[in-house]
Amino acid sequence: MARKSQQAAPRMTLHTLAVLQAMLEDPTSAHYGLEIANAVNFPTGTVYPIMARLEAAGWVSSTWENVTPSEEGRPRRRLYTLTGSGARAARQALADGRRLIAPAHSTRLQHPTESPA
Amino acid sequence: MICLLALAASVHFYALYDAKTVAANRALEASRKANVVLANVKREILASQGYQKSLKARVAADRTIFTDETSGIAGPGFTGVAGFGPVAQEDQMILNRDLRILRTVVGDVQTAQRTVGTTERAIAADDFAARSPQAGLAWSLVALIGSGLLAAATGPLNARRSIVRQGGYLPWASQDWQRLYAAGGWAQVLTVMLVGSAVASLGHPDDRDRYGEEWAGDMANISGKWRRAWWAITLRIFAPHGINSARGELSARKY
Repeated sequence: MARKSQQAAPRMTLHTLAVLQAMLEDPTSAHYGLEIANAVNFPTGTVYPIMARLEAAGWVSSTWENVTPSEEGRPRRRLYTLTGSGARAARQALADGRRLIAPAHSTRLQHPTESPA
Repeated sequence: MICLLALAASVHFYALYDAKTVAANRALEASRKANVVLANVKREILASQGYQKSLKARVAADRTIFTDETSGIAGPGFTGVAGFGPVAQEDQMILNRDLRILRTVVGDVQTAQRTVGTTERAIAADDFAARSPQAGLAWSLVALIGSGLLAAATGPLNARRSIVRQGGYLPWASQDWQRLYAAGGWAQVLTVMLVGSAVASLGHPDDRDRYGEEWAGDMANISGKWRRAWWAITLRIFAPHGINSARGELSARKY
């Protein structure tokens, strides 16, 4: 699907980072929406907008599952896959996210009995 | 959506009924207490009035004696103070004190009467809830049935519902309702309505086609009627807004 804001960086939230991390665990395979939602333990209502934003930014591509619904006994699934540039951008975004979160951990007060790491 | 509205109306009316009943009970209790206070005060007034009468009689008698003493007849209260007998002075002081007490008591009575008046007005306002314990439930049912009738009567009023009907996203026909209800009860009806509403809220026709099929697939994958209904609720709340926002058409539509 062609989006107006193709290639614009998506808004990076913790939910988006969690979805990207889940997808990066197996970056080449395709996942459907409910599967991703179950993996990150978010409602699908929040996952689909994230996927729409990632797709609009070109980080993710989606295609219909190549099955016949009558044979499978269920509707087709929309499968989402990280694009090459999307996977690189996702890794970078996760690294940036970790760097942002890391200082909060490093300033943690040390217990007197705790040996400095 | 209509079901949700009806549900919200039911909860609202039930809460209203509950609050009114509680308020009526409190008002009745306050009224009972105020009436007790009023009765006590009335008793005090009567006693005070009786005492006042007896005091006046004593003062009058003392003055008579004092007058007789000044004219040369010795009496029990005479002590030689010019102008007024000592018993009369004492009784007059008691009388004045009692008049002050009486004025305070009259103030209390007025306050109590105001309290009773306020309470009676509160009781009148809550009379409906107090007299009819099932009123809240009845109103909830009326709201539920009324919303359903309204939804059935209005039909395809706007373009969105028309599109949805043409696209077959929402089964508005009565046989479809019956089929859905038979398949999974109210949970199934609610789920299908919410998913249909979510699809209808998408701004772009391509999105409606795509997500309609995608969410139908998800719906088939989720087990448990009420778990599916909960999934549909979260989907309806979050998904259309986010997807339309991603497409940049948020400002073009109202939700």
